[in-house]
Amino acid sequence: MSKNVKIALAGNPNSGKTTLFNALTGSEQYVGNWPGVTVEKKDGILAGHKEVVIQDLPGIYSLSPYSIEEKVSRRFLVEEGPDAILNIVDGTNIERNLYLSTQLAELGLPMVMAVNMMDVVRKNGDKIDFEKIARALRCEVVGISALKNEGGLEAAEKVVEMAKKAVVEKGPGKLPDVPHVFSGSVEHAIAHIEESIQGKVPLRSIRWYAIKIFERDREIINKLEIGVGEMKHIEEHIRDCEKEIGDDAESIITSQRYDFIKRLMDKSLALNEKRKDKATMSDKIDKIVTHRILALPIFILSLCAMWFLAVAEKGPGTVLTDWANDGFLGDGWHLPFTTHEVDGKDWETAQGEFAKAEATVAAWEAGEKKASIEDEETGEIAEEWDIDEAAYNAAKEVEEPDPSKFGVWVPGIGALITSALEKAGVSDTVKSLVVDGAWGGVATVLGFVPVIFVVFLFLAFLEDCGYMARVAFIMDRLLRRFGLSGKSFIPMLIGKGCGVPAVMAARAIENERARRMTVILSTFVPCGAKTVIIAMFAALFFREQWYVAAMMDVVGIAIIILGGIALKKTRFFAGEASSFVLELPAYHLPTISGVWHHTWNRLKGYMLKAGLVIFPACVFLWFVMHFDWSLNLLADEEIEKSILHDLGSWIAWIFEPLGFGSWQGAAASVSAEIAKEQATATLKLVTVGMEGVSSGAHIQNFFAAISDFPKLAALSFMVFNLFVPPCMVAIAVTFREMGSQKWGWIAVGFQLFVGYALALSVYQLGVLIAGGGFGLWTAVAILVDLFCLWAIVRRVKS
Amino acid sequence: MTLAEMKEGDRARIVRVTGEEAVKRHLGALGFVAGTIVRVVGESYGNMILAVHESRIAVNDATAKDVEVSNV
Amino acid sequence: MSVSSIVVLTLVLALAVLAVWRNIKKGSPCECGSSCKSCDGKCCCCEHDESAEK
Repeated sequence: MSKNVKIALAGNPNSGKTTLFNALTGSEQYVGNWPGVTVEKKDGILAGHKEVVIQDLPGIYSLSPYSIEEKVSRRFLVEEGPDAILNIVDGTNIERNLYLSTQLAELGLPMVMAVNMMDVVRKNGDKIDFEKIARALRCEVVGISALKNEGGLEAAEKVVEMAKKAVVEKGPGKLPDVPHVFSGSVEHAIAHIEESIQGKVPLRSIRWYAIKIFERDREIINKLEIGVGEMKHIEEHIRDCEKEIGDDAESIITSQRYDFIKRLMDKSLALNEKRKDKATMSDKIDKIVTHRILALPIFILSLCAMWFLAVAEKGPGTVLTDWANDGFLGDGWHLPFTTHEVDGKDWETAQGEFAKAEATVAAWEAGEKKASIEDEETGEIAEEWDIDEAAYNAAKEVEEPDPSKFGVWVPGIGALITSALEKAGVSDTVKSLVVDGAWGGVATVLGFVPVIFVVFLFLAFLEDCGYMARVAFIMDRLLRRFGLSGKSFIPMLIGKGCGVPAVMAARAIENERARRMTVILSTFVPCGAKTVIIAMFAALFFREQWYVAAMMDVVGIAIIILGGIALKKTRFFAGEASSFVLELPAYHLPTISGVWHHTWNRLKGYMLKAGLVIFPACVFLWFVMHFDWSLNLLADEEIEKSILHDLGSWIAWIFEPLGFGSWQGAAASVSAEIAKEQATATLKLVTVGMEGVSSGAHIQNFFAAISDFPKLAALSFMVFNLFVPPCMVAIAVTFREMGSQKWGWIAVGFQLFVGYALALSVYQLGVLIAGGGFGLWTAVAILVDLFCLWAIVRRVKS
Repeated sequence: MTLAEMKEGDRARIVRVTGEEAVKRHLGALGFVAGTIVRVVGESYGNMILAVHESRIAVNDATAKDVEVSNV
Repeated sequence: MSVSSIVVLTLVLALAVLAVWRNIKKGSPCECGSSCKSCDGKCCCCEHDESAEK
């Protein structure tokens, strides 16, 4: 048969569904733990069966019409009608999982229930009787372990077989064998309803529809266009039941389903007596991790651990990034273990001697009596010495050391590009475009791959092991104080990767006010791109103070909390506290492939962005930097006549109070709206004129040139770009998720205010503390801070 | 008596779930129905982690107050 | 300008234009964490996100 067979894969969240889907289709879908994240339906071809399409549905607990995931799944199951259902059930949590299974079974489609995690079930010493369950639910039941790759494919093949048989043997109009789950009076009512809707629905699913109508499912009732008179008649039956049992229809159905499941489990589930009511390993871990006093410190500590690894001076992140920036992507590097001394000197010493010689020559020729060299990292003068003609002549003789004599030298990509262009006879201008403009910018961003790799890896590990669900729970207490749903923390966590899906994940929040607030606040947590800014500034200005990086995360969370409190007090967002319900999946050691895929997907996005967004942006910037308004090509020293210089100068005054009121600072900040990491690339481009030996020194010199307090100016710049509105793509999504222009602008306006106010405070108050005196803007900063304080602590009439 | 009054280690039988419809349904789907026995695995500042069947469900104090229980 | 200069210049400009065009067509890539196979092959951070319904 060449007809396509469509199999729906349905199950609870955390049941291992995505792992199974990946195994069956060879896909690389990321295993999401959050409601509202996997709202897409994904499909794939079953391995080895080209005609079979497996449709992965979002993880759901039920088939009610209330959440987005349920609606999407329902629509697929009921309207598109797959040929069969593969229901994956968590064997270690079987009762709750069966709640959905009973509903799926009532659809009347051929179904195979795959009881997953059988390896854990066996280890726990529990026993499940598949046969009894199969008979009760009128479907096939098999055991699998998706993680260990046992039984998944067989289960899929079985369901395919059943689907094919169903098409051949029974026509779509035959009454199938479905389980009868409810009590006498309810079954009675359902039978009546089935009669009423005969002919309006496919016969095989008539029971499912009838039960939905009994539950007064608005969506179904409207869709079936049940007449008013008819509905009244049905209503009587329903009300009789409700009166008899003493509860409302929906609750009756829910209750009775669980009663049925309990009776079934009494017969078919034998839990290991020794485990009863004992704390599991997850429980023990949770005792510590959600402990009333320890929880928050533990979370902050894990953030610190992540940042320490990423940006601390001798940490893996920094070491690798330095190598990437200066070596791999820059001039070149020695293969490890191949370096040796030449003439009693090693490579660093030889380089240092040559640098001193160069400085001596330059100083003497400029008529100076003293020469100096700067420390690569701090930009401060490291050594100064007197020079005379003899010293000058001696210095002229010093040859530039050849790195390949000191070990196996691998030229950096930058060096390779430069020499290739030189060999091709390319003009200096075009060479500058390629090397300084395009490659310079892209290399800046790519150089930080090691740092953000560490961050993404850490996040992936924490999410995949289940810890992040606990964090959402811990944070809820803080978030609840201002009407944010506990679910609001999830977008914020997603925001550590990218703000765009974070804002979209806010869709899962039903309460409109809470959803809006979440959209506004989610992007204050530094995303992957903003992490690059943090990494660069940590490397250039805060090598010893690596905690500055961690502080940016803390500040982000603080803004969310304090900003939320302030927003809730305005008339736009006032409201009541909401509920919080979240399943905590058992902790498990993440699989290497899972963590790898999760990390790699983010990393790949980052690198793709470098090629597709940063690259053209840098090319454009190079052009506006090297041409004036009449489109004359400018020499390097004439950069003040360039288009970019003028554009930047027009708005530079805005950034004056923040400490970086120069055309370069303005250009960098504005360019950050294309992509946040562009700020680093732009900074590199516009400061290339300011001398410096290492790749970052000219940026240090730049900040030293524009402010008497370069570290503060740098901190202010960083803070500004981290906490103003996110990149344009994220802003576009914000507008879309808010649904109206008005709310979009409120969001952007709030974010602009916060970013500016924070940078202003940091710089002005920092300068004040550092002894820079009190000025007009110091006063403004204090006033702004007092305003914010008032907005947070004021009392509002409820 | 509501869940909010339970302490760590306590077991209770659910009598009724009140409160917002949406929350009621969600809790219902998770197993919070009359007759189910839940155990308090952890508690801090009113937020609780409950063992329901074999799963672990975290709820905040506002939600816990909406679940009426009886002693076991 | 030498021939090689013109060639390199054209190449760089062409690549830049291609990159921008691709972004407009397919959506801008980002560190979203989802496989780019989802969302119909576009990276999930695309503007044209029809797969999720409200």
